[in-house]
Amino acid sequence: MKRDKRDSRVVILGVCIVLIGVVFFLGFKSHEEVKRVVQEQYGEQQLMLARQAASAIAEFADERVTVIEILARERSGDTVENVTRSFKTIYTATGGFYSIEYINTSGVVVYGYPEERAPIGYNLYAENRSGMFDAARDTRETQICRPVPLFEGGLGTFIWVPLYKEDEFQGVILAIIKISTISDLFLVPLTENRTGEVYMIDGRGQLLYDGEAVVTGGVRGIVEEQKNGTEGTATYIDHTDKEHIVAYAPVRWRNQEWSVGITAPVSEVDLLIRSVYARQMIFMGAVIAIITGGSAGLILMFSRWNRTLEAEVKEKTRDLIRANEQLKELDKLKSDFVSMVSHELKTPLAAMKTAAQVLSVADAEDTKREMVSIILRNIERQTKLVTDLLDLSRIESGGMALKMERVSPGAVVADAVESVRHEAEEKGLTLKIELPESLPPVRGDREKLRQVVINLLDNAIKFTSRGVVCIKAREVNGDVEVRVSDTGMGIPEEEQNRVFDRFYQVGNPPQTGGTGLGLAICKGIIEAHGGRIWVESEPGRGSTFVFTVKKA
Amino acid sequence: MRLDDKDRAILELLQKNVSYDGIANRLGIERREVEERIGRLSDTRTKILIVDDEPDTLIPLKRALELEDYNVIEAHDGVEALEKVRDEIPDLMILDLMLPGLDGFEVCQRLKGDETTRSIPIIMLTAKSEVPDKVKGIELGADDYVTKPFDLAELRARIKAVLRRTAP
Repeated sequence: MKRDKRDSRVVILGVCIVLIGVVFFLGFKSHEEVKRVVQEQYGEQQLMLARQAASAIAEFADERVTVIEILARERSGDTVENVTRSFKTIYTATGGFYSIEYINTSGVVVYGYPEERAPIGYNLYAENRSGMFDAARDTRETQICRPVPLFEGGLGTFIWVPLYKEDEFQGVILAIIKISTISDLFLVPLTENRTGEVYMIDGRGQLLYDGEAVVTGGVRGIVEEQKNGTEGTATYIDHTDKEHIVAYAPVRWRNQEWSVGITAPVSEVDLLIRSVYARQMIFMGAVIAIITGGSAGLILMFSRWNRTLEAEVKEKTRDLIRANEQLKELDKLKSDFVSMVSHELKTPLAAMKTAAQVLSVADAEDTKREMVSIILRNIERQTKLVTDLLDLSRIESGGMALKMERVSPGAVVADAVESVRHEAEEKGLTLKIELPESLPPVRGDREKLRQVVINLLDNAIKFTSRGVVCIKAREVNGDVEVRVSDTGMGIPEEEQNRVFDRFYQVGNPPQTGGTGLGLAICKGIIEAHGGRIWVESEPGRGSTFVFTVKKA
Repeated sequence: MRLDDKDRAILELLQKNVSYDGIANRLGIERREVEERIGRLSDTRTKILIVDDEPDTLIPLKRALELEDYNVIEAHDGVEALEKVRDEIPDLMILDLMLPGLDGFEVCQRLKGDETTRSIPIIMLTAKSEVPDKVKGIELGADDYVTKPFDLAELRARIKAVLRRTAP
């Protein structure tokens, strides 16, 4: 058994490990996938940036060239002064030019703006730098050379625009755009707020801009690609063994073909993924926490509910059981009542019947007399029982008619005592009466009250073998209270509540005769008078039956 | 019937042909008691024990059975009934169920559970006529069950029937 348990534990553990392994494997696999996708997306985004930068640069440069070309066309017949007057306007209005110069037909710089940047008097022929000048003149087309170092340092691109009045060569406007102007405008901003670098090369692979000197060995291959004027993404590993991702896009304007490259360490992608993961984790954690908390709350709620429910069910069951017991008790009382009635009615009937049958065959006078007296006695008994039952039935149906009048309690007590005096004397009991002189009259039915007092006295005498039966009356809180006490056997506490029940007889089984209805009738009568009746008793020392009736 | 020492002494003296007065003298008892004891000892009638706490039920029944020439003895509660059965060993018992102290069912159960009294037939007599009471009475070994008020002729017939049925 134990072994089985351990085996199953091992199996469960194994399955768990395998499942965890699968989860990890899938996790890694999906991580690779995610990494690839994100890298792709990232590259795509970088490429977009590169394209934007490239097209912005191309547009910028092209625009500058166009402005100069328009100037050249518009002012082709004008004097040098008039042409050069526009230089300042163009320089300040468009921005981005390093300088704009006017070169006369003999290749000498005659004017330039800003003036301090213009090498006035510089003779191209003398310096043997007239190649582009000649080309512009000869082709009548704008000539743009690839970026070259300026005297003042840095790289610049030279734009040669020929001036023709009809077919007459007037000279060349030379506009210089510094590469640093372009990179400051379009490339430097790209590096702000991000890791990674930006660089630009010209068609020959010459570095035009290199933010952090990234173009080292690893990027060479990419530069070759860029020289072909293609766009795309690629990765390379730098000298510190870090992998970078590069997106590059060509800058095409006029005859120039440059290329912008944007690099970013691959670790940036990881960072991105990690931040996504972190967010996902936070979300999942929150969800799990909510679900767990919610479930726990629900479980707690349900279990509490369950507990309350259980308690309620228990309580209800208890109530039901109690009610059921009460019902059973009631049912038993009822069937006891019926069986008692039948017994009490049949017993004297049986006695009478047998006695009468004996009477009809007996010869002896003694026997005849005996039988007759038995018959008479039982008729008496039957009559009393029937009267009691009728009384009780009237009381219980609320149909007892009371003849209410002012009644002197003293008279009722005296009357009742007279009725039982003989009985008491026969048993050798002392009958004591304590009545105060000024006892107020009560409101009640004289006959019924007498019946109650007689009944109580009868009982007291019946249950007392020697000693005193005492009856007292007094006024208490606007009621008259009558107490009948004896020195009999008393009533156990648990039976005191039941002595007023129908057919209830003290002692189990009942110790004395009687119909068992007397006290029930007394209770009915007193309650019909609006009074109370109860018993005070100490077993072995006697009982006191007390009732109260309202003053008249 | 259980004999006490006086009964035995009387029987001995009778065998020696001592007169009633002589017996009374010898034993220091009254002649009336001697007669009573001899009458009891020589009574060969069928002996019926009636157990009922109500004298008004018991007496007419006793008189009626005496008229039928039965020897009738009486007990008024369960405990007295058990004593009487042991002392007198009646031929039949008429047992009321509603008795103070031991009730009729218990008396019946005890008698039927005792080897020496088992064979005494019992007719239960009660005002209770509910079927469960009858069943309980019969189950406890009662030989018949008569409900009050009963007809004397019927009771007489039942007594005879039970006696015939249980005769050894």
